[in-house]
Amino acid sequence: MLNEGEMEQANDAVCSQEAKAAEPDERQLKRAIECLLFVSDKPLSLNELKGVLEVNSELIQRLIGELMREYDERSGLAIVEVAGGYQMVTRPECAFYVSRLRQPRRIKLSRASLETLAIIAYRQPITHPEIEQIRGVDSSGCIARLLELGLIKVVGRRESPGRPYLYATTERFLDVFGLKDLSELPPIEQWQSKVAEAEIEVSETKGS
Amino acid sequence: MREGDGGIVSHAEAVAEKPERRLIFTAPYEPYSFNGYHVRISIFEGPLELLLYLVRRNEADVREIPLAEITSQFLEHLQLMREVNIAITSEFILTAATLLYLKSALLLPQPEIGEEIEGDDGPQKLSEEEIKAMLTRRLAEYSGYREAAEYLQERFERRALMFTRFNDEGGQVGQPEVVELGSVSVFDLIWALREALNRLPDGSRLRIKRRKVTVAMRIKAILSKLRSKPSGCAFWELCDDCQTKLEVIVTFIALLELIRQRLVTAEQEKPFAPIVVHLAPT
Repeated sequence: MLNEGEMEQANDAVCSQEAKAAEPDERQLKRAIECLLFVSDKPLSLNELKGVLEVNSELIQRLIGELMREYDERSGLAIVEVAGGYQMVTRPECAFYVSRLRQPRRIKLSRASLETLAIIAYRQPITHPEIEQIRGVDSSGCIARLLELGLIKVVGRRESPGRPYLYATTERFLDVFGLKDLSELPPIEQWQSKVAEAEIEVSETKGS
Repeated sequence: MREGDGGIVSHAEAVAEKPERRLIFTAPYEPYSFNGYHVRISIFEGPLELLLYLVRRNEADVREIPLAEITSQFLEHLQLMREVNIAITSEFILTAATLLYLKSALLLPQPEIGEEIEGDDGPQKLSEEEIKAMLTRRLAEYSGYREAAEYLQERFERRALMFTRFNDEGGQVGQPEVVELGSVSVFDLIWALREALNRLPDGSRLRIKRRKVTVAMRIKAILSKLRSKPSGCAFWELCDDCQTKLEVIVTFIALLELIRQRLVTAEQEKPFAPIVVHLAPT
């Protein structure tokens, strides 16, 4: 722990012009980004980084890109883009050792809950009856579980009879599934059309 | 058709032959062992599962099966058992629910080929191809999400291998602690509640005493009040010291009692005027 005198010195250093060059040194900036990602307990958005670093986003993105490559070459850590921000994580190859030190995150999702979550992710905002129409079975338990886990949230009500709740995925959903944003989800059509073709083939074979 | 030859007689035929006749399906008929709960209804006697099997094979008409009767019989049966046997009960519920589903499905109007159904653009006719296409579309949509669920599972597993910083509590930073509730039953909750109640200090129990009020007490009060006011009182003045509805009611009964015993008189100048109560002249 720093004593008061040292704190003041540190504060002076932070505020002084020596620490923050008039025209920011790229090397220094890159190190600063590294520090910010290290201390942050959640993904840092580009806007947050911009607010702290006071430089344009193109520069930040370029420097993060460089950092990512450097980390890939030599580090046990990696910088990933997740939930609309950047985060420092351990490399998957090292998971075995890390999990010996600390338990990995434990979320148990049943097949039904995952299915429900997929429907919400692709069709959000969506109501409870609409989910059940697609799945063909009662989905209350799944929705309750997903709400409990903070993977989905209520974002409003549909102005239709009964004013049902509208559900959408949360930032935590992106984080837990390692998604940059919702657009990173592969288009659902690729799976749907594949199945549709298969079905048609089946019915044709049956007919002949 | 004779009894015992293993054939199935529909209810209608059975009634035509002999109204009180019951069909008893015997062991040789059973395709495999049914040993669950036995039902006893007019058209069938035997294990409920067998009934479901017969319905599925179209050998018994689900519309002829009185499900309410079966259920109430089962409930009686349950009351006879000392404790609820979860295995038997859940098996019964599953079978009965399946029968109920089959029965209700028959009652719902089904869009038939060529039949007019209400569409978004008013009534429209669906051809066999269109119905097939509609079902295929829905199936395709659903299957797409199943694939998507698998994709999410893979993403999750990959992401779980990448650790973020730990906070001091030992969990991962930014991850709210998740309490696994999966293995908690209602009985655990009841037990927890009892424990919590036991831990309450004894002093936390409050006893609220109700003020006791009797007709005799109110008679005394009315008489003393009227003695102090020779000019008489309105009824509401007699209730001045009442704190509850019950006390007002008891006061009113006391007043009626006093009037009956001719100890007080009540006067009213004209209809709807206040009623004034006096001590009766002795």
